[in-house]
Amino acid sequence: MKVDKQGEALSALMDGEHTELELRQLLASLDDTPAASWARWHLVQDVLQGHAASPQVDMTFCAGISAAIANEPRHSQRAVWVRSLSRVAVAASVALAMVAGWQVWQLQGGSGVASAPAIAASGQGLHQMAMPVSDRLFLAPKQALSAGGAANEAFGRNGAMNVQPVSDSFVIDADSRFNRMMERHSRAAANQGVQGMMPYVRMIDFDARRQR
Amino acid sequence: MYILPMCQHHDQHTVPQGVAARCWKWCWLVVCLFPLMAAAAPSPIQVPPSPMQLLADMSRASHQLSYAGRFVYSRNSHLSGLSILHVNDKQGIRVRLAYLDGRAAELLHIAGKLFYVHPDSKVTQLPAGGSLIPFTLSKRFAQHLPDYYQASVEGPGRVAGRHAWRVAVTPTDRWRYGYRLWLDQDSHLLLKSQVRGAAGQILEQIEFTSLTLNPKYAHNSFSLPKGASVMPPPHHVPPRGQQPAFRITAGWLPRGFKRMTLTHAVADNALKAHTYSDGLAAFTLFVVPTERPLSLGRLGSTQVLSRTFDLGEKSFRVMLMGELPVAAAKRILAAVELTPAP
Repeated sequence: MKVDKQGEALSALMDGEHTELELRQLLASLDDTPAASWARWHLVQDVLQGHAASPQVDMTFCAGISAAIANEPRHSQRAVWVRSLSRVAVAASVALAMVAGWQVWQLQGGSGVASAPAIAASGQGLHQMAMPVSDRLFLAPKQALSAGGAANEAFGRNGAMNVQPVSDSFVIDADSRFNRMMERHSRAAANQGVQGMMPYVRMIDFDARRQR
Repeated sequence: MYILPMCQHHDQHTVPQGVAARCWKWCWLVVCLFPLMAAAAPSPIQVPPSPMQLLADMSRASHQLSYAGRFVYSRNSHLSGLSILHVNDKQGIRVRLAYLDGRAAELLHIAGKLFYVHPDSKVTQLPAGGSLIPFTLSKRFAQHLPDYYQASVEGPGRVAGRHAWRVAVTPTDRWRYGYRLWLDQDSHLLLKSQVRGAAGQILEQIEFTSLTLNPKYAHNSFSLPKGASVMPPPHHVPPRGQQPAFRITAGWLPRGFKRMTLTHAVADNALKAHTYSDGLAAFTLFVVPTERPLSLGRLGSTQVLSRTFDLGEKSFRVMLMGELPVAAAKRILAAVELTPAP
């Protein structure tokens, strides 16, 4: 009889004399009747062994747990594709951080190369000068002006220090003579390879603006 | 108490994955994405060459490569647009520097000759020897900079969408300007340059807004305007009887400045002109009559000062025009001596 077989299986289980197959078969065929028998037998065992004072688990314990879980408010579940995308984004961030860190590490001496400030300083020396801004009119002593001695005196007054003050504004007049001087100066500078095309750029810009 | 595994209603398939399995999955994802991130990352930081090597490469690239670009030139709060087409092919080096604002003007370097197409469409052949490459140092600086300048690489930069090295050429005294150059990391061509004053203010600047290597160009890109008559280079030497009876001497010069020897003559109605250079900066002293006032002041990095000399019954004006701080220009001009010719 099925019930008898279940009772025998339960008894073997209580005594620890069951096999794996018997256990599976028993679990698959369990219903409330053998469960109740199981509870009574264990209560008898506890009383005989002096464990009756230990708390008793109610038969409906698991059902209650299941019901409580089922009644919990369901959390919003993201779509599978969103979860996958977030994983990829996190992994991409980690990979990018590794790449950036490797580059910084390489620059800062991880490969034995001097750091950026040291590069600027190596060989040539990084020279930062705070040069004073001096826009005062330079007045040479009168002795220097008359250093030519008698020759200068023969030419009369050698001009006061008429170095006209310089302002940032520049009045461009239509004096072609000035333009030719600008051209002459630009050609001379360019001829010696000074600053490449820059002297010509200044010249052409001045000429074009003058003729607007 | 033995609790029978009665909670069989729970889903026995949702067994949590092991920590080790999750870690392996993340590691594989990171490893797979690493090449993509490395490719997408900004240009890897490279160790720059030495500043002198960069400057030498800049000069060489500017001469040897073919390139075209547009750049903005600014000075005194004024902006101008220019373009350059530099070609090095079987016909040699040809360059066209065009002014794009206002009235058109351009410079053409063809077959070793230099032509200036004025805004009024007249064409003047300028004396040979000039260079139309964006920037270069004098041959004096080919091996090393003299001690009145110091060069350093300040770090990477970006101009016209191209990665660049920022090079500083800093003076070691107060008598000259400093320079900042941005050189393309790939071609070493100049992308941007600044002339800076003693306080770090930008006096003059050019900046490329576009640069193309090995550009395509029309066959007539280096042609002079049709029908234009070319005026020869100015070569005015006053007749013997009208040679100026005086001699001009620069009594004081900043360290490194030397008088430059030029084969071509001075501009007409300037009786004397001497140009001096330290290899990177230059200025010219002109002696002119004083009948008419001249423009004076600072135009970008170019100072224009004058000083009056009385020589007997006549007065002359010595003009200094050059890319120097005003303090240097004033001191040079104050030390100029005008003496009678022997």
